[in-house]
Amino acid sequence: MSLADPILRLDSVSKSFGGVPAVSDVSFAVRPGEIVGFLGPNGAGKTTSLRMALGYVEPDRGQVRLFGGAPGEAAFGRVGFLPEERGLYKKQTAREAIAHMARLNGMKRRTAFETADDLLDRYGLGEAKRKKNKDMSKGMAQKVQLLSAIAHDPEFYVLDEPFSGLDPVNQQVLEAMVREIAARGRTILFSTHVMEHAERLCDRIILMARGEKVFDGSVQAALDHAPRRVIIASENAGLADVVAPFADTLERRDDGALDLLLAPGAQTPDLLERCVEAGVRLTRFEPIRASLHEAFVALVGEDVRADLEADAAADLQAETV
Amino acid sequence: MLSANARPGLPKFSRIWLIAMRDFIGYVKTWGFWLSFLFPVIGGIFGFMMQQSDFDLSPPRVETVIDQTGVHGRAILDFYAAEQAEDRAEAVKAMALSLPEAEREAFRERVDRNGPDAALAELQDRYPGTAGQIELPEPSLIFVDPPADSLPALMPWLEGERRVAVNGRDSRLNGVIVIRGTADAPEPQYWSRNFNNAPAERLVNRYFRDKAERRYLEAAGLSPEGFDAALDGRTRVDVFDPAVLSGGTEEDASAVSVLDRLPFFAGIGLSFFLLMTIFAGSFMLLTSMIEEKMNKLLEMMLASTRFSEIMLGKMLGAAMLTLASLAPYLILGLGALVGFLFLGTPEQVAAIREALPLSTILISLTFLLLGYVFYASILIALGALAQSMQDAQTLSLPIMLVMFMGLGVIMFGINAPDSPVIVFASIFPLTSPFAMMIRLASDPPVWQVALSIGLLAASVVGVMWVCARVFRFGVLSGSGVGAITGWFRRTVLRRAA
Repeated sequence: MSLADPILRLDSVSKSFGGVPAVSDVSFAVRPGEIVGFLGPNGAGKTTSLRMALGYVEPDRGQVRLFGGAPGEAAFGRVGFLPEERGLYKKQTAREAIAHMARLNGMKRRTAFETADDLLDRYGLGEAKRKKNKDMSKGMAQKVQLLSAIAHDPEFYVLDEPFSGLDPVNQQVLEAMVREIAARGRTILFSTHVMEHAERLCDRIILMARGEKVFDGSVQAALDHAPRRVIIASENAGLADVVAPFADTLERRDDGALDLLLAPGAQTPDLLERCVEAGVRLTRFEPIRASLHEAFVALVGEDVRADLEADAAADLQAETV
Repeated sequence: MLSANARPGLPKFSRIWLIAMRDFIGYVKTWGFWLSFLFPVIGGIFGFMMQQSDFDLSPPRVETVIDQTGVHGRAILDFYAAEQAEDRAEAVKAMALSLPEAEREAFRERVDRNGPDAALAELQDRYPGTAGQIELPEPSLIFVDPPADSLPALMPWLEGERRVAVNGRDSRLNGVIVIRGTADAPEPQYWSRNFNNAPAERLVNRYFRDKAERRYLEAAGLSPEGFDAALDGRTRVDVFDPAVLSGGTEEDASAVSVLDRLPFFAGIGLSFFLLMTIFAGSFMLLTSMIEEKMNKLLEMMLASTRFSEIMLGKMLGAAMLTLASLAPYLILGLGALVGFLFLGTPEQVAAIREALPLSTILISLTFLLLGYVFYASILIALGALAQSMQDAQTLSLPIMLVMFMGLGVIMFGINAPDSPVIVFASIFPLTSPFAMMIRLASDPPVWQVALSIGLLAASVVGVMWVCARVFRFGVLSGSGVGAITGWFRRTVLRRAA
């Protein structure tokens, strides 16, 4: 396998459970050194795709290649997987938990324990080395779980919803860990339904909805699909008439400014130039940066947006609890 | 040809071992394990303390006799004393087996001639080690003079309101033998609050049976002593087994001995061992699987471990734990066997070697292994489907019922090892591990052993295949029995779930 060859390739894979399609005709590839975000609401088929990628589940149709071969034993020790649902043996200590997983991945006993101690020290859990997992806080336990998945320093990291259940502080810590792993040239594929994480971390994103891939490309390319908005205000009357040809929709805000959704093909510099030409004295001209969330909604359509909003509400509730 | 998504290759033992050790150590760290492990030691200490404190679990019962015939009361006590003396003599005679063969018969004769006490003194002189091993039977009854001379007057003692003095200690009067009537027409009664187990009642029955026997013989002009001598000199049946190893031929009438029955006892022992292993291991396998499901670690492990390795690791861990729990008993058993091999008489050593040939040991171990894997696979699959301990208990109930069937087979096999039921049970895969180990002692036909192993091995492969899929489904879906019933409705009954 050459450096340019993808670490993971899914070719037209489909999978149904009990006659209900979970993944339909999905293809994508992950190349060495990439950080790829695997995005979509709950039930979009992310976890099933990842399980097929690792060989846990056989696809009904299509083919999966991991490190150029069938997923399975040949990839053992080269992949670090953090599943969405995760836990620890309650009676093990943090170092035992990390060393156990490292040894399953082929590390020698002594090296595994040394690595466990080193990782725990490096990520601020040095005092918890000999603490039993049942006595740890949720945040500490999740960090130990991640360290268990990565202790053997794999080439390819598959992280399924790594940020779920973490408080904002620990989410930042985890983001730093992901960046540190990426800085070492490792390849990362992580799934999430929180777009902001992907926006901050990923080179490339794959958007999934209802079992199908709806987008595969760079973050910027995805943002290009998002609706572009400009907040614009003027001391002069007739602003609305001047900007109307550039607008798809135009709404007046409470503060008197106009919220303008740019029409397809309309460009922000052209809008500004038209205002200057018309002699409009602008008091506010603020292009709004599109979010990945908006891009996703634009890509998947209104019906999926309801699912996303439900997820967001559930997340908010979970964080409040 | 393997598909591109197939996982070729055999399970790797290093990963199986790691999983087994994690499970094993996890359980070894619990109090429950150490209580099981140290049970023989705790039991031994308890027994030693009981012995040292002279605490008798079954103390002799204090009885009395009210005799209105003037004959039978005294005679019953003499009859009991004679029985006691005979029991003591038999116990001392039994020690002849520990003496050199040339001395045995002479020693038995000296016990008859000089009495057990003189023979015991002689034994203590010449073989103090052997004499120290004798446990003379203790009397189960102690007779005291009646504290009152009528039954109504004795009631406070029988009700436990008043006590009698026996060897300087206050004791409860357990019962009274009342003999009314005359010497020729006695009317014996036994009065006691404790009549479920009444050795005094049995003594009286034996006494009157003996009286009737003597009266009958004397009426016919025969002496009871002559009758006893005739009984002692009766012809006895010798038991032979054509397959027996230490037994003799028709000419050399060395019959089937206890040693010849050794393979049979070994089969029963191994059968019970398998049953205990599965019983003890089943709980661990079920709880371990539920723990795994709750911990949600399996999915992470699967990135570096195969399903089959996890299953085999869990089976091995449970087997190791069971072996560790039973280690004290195994060590004692093996120690006794090795002790016999090194310290036993040449005949004993030869008999043990011949009774347990390598082929029998290997076949027994094969059944033990296949039987364990068969049941352990089912229990792991059930554990993977369970979502709580209640689920696990409900799911494992049918398996436990099958296990009780195995226990029934063992019990039945002890009495009738070659009955058609046991022959069938020794071939039917659910019961064959238990039944065939018992049958091996009686040299069953080779084709039956081969068929039994073949069917069991095929069943193990089939059960492991199905259970591996159930395990995979249970682990990945996180769902329980409802998913199986849903699949059954959809696939078998063709209804919408």
